Amino acid sequence: MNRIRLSALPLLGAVTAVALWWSATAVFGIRSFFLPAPPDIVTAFRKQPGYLMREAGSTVTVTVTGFGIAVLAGLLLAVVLTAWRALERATLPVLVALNSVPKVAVAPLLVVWLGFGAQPKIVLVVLICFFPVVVATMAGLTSTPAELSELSRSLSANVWQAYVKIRLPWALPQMFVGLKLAISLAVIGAVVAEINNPTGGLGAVIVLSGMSFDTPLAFAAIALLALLSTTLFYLVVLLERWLVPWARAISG
Amino acid sequence: MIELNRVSRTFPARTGAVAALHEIHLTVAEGEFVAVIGRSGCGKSTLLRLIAGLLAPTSGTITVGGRPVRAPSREVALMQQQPALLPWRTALGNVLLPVEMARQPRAAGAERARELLEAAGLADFQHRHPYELSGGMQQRVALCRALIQQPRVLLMDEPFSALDALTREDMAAQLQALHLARPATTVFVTHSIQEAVLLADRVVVLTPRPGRVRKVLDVDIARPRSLGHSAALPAVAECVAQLHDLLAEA
Repeated sequence: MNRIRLSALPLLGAVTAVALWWSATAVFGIRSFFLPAPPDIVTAFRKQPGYLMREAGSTVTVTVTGFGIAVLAGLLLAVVLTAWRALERATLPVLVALNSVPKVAVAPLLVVWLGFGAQPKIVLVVLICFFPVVVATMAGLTSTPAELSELSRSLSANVWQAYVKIRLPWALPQMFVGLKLAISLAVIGAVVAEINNPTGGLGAVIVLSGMSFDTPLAFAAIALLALLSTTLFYLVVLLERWLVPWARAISG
Repeated sequence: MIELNRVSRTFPARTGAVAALHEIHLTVAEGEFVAVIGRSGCGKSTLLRLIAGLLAPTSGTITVGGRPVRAPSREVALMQQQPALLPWRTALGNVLLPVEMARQPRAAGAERARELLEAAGLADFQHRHPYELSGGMQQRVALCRALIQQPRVLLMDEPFSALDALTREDMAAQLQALHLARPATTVFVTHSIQEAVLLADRVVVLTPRPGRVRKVLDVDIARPRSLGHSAALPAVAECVAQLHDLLAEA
């Protein structure tokens, strides 16, 4: 009973939201050009599914590539900064200052520097999701309990062993907080880059459909983006449950 | 086996230096079980960390097995107050951690680890994670981990203090059986007089702030001892009373 209710309630919420939206367009006679009703969006999608899926694929590639690079680089930097405190003191303020630059403002510059291909898009995604990964991983790496640090020292562990066997696994739950933030930001980064440089991807679909006043198509692209972002987020959640099943058990 | 010669340790503090231990002299023979007892803040834990090589003395010398202590050694195992188990490893995996850190073959280690877990009554729990074990079981896993490298010296820092009274008694009894079967040189820090009298060949009483050796008491009571019947023996009562007085004055 409880299980059924658990899965039924979110579904009920979603269905109600769509129903409200639909009835609002019908009751107030809103034209499809301003706010398309759900069936208009489905029709827009069914008119050119191949095109939309291809552009969605392009957005996914940019998002996942950028996210992957940011995670690897962020992990590496977090390890280096926590292992070498002097470097942390020297570079962290610079990093914070760089992060406070609005990424949207950098997008046109990236096109100037890197051209019209996928590169400037991937770089923007990396820039936007790098910081949460670094901060969360550093927080995790510096939260090793005193008794575990002492255990590691009393077993004569070298720096590598201390990181691989104790500090990094201990940091994983906190690192995943950063990863969940970063994956949502990664999609935003990809779309911002695509809107700025509409050579492909769902961001480009939105720009082009706006130019041709095809609002239902823009909404179809937005719906796909929402679906994509949600799916990626829950993939990260799945990865977390698979890699750190113990975190839920000990924080009960 | 262990020799401390005029060992002092001070810690820096805002109001100058705080002396934790002052001119400690202590010799522990091979295979001997020594309990260190004192009020909280008397430097008991500092003493263990000095012997373990985790802290350096401010002055004085410490040798283990004739060699001066400079860094942690694989011959010396430390058992902490908390189990300090890795939550992502099973009981067996946790016991194997020292073997992996020493880059020794895992297979031989696993064999020994299983034997230790079985002796600790955890044969059925070797594939469980720490969060699936009770506090007493977790501490027994920690004991197995301390013993896996067959250390010549075992240092125990109030290892049972986080457990309930009955579990504590069980653990102390198990530790005694283990020590009788294979005596390792042991320094056991506690603030329980009963535990000290049950387990130790000698009890070192420390005074608080700074810690000095107030008295070293020999416990001449036949083994195996128990907290049941032998608690009524005159020799045990005498020993307990003496320790009470020494701690009250300290």
